[in-house]
Amino acid sequence: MTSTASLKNKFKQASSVFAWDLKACTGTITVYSILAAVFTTIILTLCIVLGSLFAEGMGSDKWAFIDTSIDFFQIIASMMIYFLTIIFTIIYTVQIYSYQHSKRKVDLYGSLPISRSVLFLSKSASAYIFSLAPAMFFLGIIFIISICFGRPLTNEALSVYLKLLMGTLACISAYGLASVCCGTTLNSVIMFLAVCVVYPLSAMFIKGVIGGFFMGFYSGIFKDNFIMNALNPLAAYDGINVGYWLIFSVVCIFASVYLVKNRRMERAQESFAYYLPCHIIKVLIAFLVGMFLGVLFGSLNVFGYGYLGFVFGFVLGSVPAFVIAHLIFYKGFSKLFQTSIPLAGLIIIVISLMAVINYDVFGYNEFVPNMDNVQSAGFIDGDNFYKVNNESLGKVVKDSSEDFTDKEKINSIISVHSEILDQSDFSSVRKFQNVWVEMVTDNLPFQLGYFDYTFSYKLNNGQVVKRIYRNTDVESEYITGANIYDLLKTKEYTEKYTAFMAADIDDIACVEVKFNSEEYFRINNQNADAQDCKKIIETFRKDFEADKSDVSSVLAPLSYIDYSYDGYYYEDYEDIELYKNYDPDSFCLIEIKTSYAGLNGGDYNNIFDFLSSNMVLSELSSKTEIYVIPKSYTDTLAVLREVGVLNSNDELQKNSSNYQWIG
Amino acid sequence: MIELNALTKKFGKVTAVDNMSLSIKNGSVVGLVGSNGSGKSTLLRLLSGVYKPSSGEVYIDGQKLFDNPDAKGQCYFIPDFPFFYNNSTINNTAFLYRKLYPNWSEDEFTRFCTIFPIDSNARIINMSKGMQRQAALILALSTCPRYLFLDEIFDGLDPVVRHLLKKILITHVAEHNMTVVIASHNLRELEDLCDRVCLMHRGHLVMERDIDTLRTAFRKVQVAFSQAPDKPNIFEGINVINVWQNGNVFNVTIKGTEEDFMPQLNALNPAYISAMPLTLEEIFISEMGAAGYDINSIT
Repeated sequence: MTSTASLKNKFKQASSVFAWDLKACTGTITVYSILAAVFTTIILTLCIVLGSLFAEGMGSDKWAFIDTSIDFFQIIASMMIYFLTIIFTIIYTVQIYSYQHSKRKVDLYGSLPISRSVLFLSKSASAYIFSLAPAMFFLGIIFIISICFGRPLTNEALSVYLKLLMGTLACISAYGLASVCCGTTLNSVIMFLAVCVVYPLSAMFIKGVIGGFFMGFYSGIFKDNFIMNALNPLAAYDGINVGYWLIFSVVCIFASVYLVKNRRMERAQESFAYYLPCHIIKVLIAFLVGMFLGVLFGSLNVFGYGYLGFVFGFVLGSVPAFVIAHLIFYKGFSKLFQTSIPLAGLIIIVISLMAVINYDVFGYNEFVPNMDNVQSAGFIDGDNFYKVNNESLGKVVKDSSEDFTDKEKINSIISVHSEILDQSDFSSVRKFQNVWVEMVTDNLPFQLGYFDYTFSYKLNNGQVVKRIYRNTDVESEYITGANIYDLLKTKEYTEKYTAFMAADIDDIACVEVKFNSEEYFRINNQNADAQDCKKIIETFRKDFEADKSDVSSVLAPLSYIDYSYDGYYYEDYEDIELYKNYDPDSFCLIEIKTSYAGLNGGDYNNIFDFLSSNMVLSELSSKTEIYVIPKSYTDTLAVLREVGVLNSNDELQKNSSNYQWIG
Repeated sequence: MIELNALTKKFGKVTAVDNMSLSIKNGSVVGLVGSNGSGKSTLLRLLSGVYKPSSGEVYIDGQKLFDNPDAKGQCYFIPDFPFFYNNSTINNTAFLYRKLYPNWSEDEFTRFCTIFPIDSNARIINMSKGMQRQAALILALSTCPRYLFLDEIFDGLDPVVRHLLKKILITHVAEHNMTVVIASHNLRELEDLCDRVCLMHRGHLVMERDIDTLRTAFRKVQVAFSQAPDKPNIFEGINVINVWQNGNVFNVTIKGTEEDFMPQLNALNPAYISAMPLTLEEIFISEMGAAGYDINSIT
């Protein structure tokens, strides 16, 4: 009974604080609401008007593209609410938690008959509700408008809900903790922003160093990994690693409540109430600036040796950065020397670790297993393989270690691996240059390059060794020597790593049958053609599986078209006559295109994915494979005739809307 | 009852309140006086639970005060610069206080809004300093606190409102047995209002006394001699706090009553002698002088 009364009383107090904050934030909420309402209206108007203009321009009815227009409205308006909410969340949060940073506010709130923890939690709840409630209201309006136009909610727009929920919770919790530790609002904001910027950049440098110095190491394991943004609550707005961000938020809230109970309120308007976060931030800033200058000097070969340049640059960057951060946080030089011990530790640790990896003390870079120690091995052409179920490359490569067990093929793999190492530059300066390459290529929102060569070995002791080399790691663009492509044209390899055999049949967007590059017959895997498309693929797969002969002639085009991302083809490779020279049995070519969503597990991670899948980029983003259909694949040819791709003369059926002449 | 048990508050190396023990009975009005930086405001913030003591404890009616909403619900603190949000009015702030303070009285609120000459719907932030204090007082008194802590409350109030405030406080104390602790440099106002005075200096409680006792404990005596006695220490044996000589005329501050020192003074054969009580300000100056804080030690 007492605890119920106490809980009721606490709720009453919390609601009072909430009402108070609502009063204080009314102006900000009004500004948000006006902006959101105006932008939503503008976006809706523009989407409908531009959609109808486009339709008229295409000679269609002006409402022909209304569905697409409303889809665009949903996405763009949701994204607008998303960004607006992020900005205003920061404003509300700063405003609400400032009660700890002004002596006058401290007098007011400190003397109120409410416990510190309940006050803090009430404030946090206020910040959370003020940030989310208006956002959810406007997202609801967007969805109602969409439904009124007969359009269902898109996944992208729906995901904004989750992203906002997660991001707001994480950011408010993290800022709350920063505000408890800091004495001023300015320091809280600086600390919050510093963490959000400095931590991910520092993590990028660490990842870059790992990737740059350990050639063949698959740094893709860090992609979308929570560790890359572990202290950057703004990353929670990406809507990934939800479990981590929940734990992060809960830890921040508990830590804040614990600290706020014992917080010395007289610290208001002083630099800090608790100094530990300040030390962490200063060290992080020193690390980041030190790494930037160190890696820059290392890659510029300062003092004629990369590592020496790094040491010079690291010290030159980290010490002034540490001092400046101290001046900003402490508003002066007080306690500078007492608090410099972590900086000294940082410099010693970083320089020592960099020495260890620079000199490759453990021999990672030049390791190639001895033939006698290898049980099985695998090799994947990173440019041109199909990932099933969107598995990570690291897992695919690990699994590939059991692909080939015969000695000859293992020997081929080892010799190609050795060849790559022979062509690689292991100099200190090159390693530092690689750090930049790693950082740039891995942190763009779209993919710039592919992994070219992946090797994996299962050793006799059961250990799996894997190496993934980029084309940038190797001086020569092509592998010479052993004919590794013989491995790629094996049935085992095709069954595991091509869209033709490994892709889910629903992930295949269409097939095109052609004799040359001037004309083709396309059957889409949707609407009325879907059954025909599936039938062709299934029959072709069966014929391929049943083929007991050397299948390399079927796979011959793979040797030429080892990339399709840029949509560029050599005309000659789309001419069946070329393949008849190798195998007179060759009849025609079949091109298989996978859908974009199939490449990404069906989800859009960001606006680039969405645009890629819905706009002009979709053609370029899908994966294309081309094969030869031999005359001996009679079932496949029979199906092609049956569904009307080939006429009675075994030529492309020209009087079909699926036939295209592009010559 | 308020009890301070070896209360200490340190700000880094500075000890603002040093090992202070004190009891304040219910229904009393206590004046906190002391030099600048003596720890008066800090003590009030400790009493109202704003600050956490470095050591020791504050008890209100036997309950620990710090972070105790029940105990704090009986207290109200008006600091020297009360905070109000930009859009705060007396009415909308009252709306929020209703749920927070258990003794909130709507009748008292209406009554005080009528008594104090300010608009309860006007934005407090736009009011003058004195009017802001009146607003704070209306809100404070409407919570019907059993313990009211006021820091420099008379600053900015006009004489009429000062008088009104003193009257209201005295009535409230009499009717509701409210306890008031006022920190102020305006000793004249405290003299009218307080029944006890605590004198603080450098975080220490120098003196704590009933104001009536204090008044009778000191005398300002003017002694004139036709010829000053030729003695190095004329007033030897008398508890003299302060002496100021102008020719044969001596102005002496003496601790004690006429019965204590008159026989000794008369024995000096003065030509003229008169004794009168000290004002609180004079007592403050003389006691602070005794504690090493006088105009000479500052300059």
